[in-house]
Amino acid sequence: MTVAAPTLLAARVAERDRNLALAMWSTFMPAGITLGMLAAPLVEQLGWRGVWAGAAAAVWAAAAAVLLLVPRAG
Amino acid sequence: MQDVLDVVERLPALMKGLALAAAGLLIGAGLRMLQNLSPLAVPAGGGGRLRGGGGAHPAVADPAGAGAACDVDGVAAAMSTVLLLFAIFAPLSLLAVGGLIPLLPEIQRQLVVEHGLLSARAFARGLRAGAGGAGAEHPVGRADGLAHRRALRVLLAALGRQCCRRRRCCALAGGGWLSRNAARPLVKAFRRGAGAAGARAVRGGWRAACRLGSGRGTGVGDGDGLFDRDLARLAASAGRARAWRGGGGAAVLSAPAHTRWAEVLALLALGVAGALQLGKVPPALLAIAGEFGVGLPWAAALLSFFALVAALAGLAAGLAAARLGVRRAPAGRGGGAGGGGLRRGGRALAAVAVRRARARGPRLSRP
Repeated sequence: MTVAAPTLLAARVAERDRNLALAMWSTFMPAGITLGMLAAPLVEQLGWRGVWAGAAAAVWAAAAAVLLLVPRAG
Repeated sequence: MQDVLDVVERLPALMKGLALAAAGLLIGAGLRMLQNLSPLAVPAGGGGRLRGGGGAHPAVADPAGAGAACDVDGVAAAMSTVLLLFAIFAPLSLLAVGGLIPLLPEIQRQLVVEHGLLSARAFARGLRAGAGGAGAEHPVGRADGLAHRRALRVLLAALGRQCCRRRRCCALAGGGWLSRNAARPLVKAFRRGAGAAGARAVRGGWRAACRLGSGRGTGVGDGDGLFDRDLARLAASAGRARAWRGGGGAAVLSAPAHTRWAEVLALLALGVAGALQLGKVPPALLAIAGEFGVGLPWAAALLSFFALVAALAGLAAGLAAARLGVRRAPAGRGGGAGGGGLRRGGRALAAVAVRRARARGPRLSRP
């Protein structure tokens, strides 16, 4: 994903939006880690299994979104 | 006293960690050495495998020329390089508390300024390739477009030679860049990759070029590369666009005129969700350590396993992405090999083959 997504991103945005899109992409790692840290209170309530299951669900949801929104190679 | 005992108790784990780090470094350096010694590596002098003009083109692997790199001196030099690398990176790895990025200036200083193992440009290029993965192939910027065009020219020259042998079309024989053996895998990959239509178009371009060549009555090519340029232009008009729009990696998807931001957001969400898998660990660490009844050291080891699994899976995913095309890789749909999928895979493979032929990694210049 880290490998393929920027490539895909660069290929799927219009020329003039490319910089903006890649700049947005560059925030993925800090954003994800921050979200994980912010989920710390949930560990108290749901247990770590709950939080990790939630994280897994987030990945599946995002994968589904990509499947729906990003067109297949034509 | 108790504190000292605690530290001593933890020493084995610490030593284990250090040993692992050292082993990792050695393995990395060993791989690097193997790579340098393998037939695929281009000797620093370059050139030897190229025939005729156009010496600027990096060589394609040529089995005949491989032996020279494997002599004893080469092994000794490689070993000393490995030791030098170990001496550089072992202390660096001890400093690498904040990860690789903060250390980059120091790594560059050591490799480029201090030991002169890499030129600054090679360092930057290696960094780009390392950070980009398959992204190094994406069509951002003019340089990559140029690389593709030049790869195409190499291919044309290679195919041209074969065409000429068969057709006795001597006009093309002068400016060849590649030996026939070197050309063969490229040709095969290109034919497979570009698909029948692309191959037909390219062949059409040649036929025209051949006619032109004999019509001009040049007979034997002048070898100054001019003819190759003409040939490239002809083939371009005959169908380069068709052949290459379908070629591998990112090129499978053409850039649209308008950005659909929903796609961008979906991909971004995928990235964030992936990074979440790293961020979720620290808050849960204590809970996990408590539940499994292991101390913090083992919980920390769990963190390391995460990194290890991510590295191994990432390696596989990167290779798959380069071969299957990027659209299939992020969603993890590996299979589904219909005819179209196979063809696209072939295209991507051809792009990889071209890339391999073209791209040279940063090479250590041995002091």
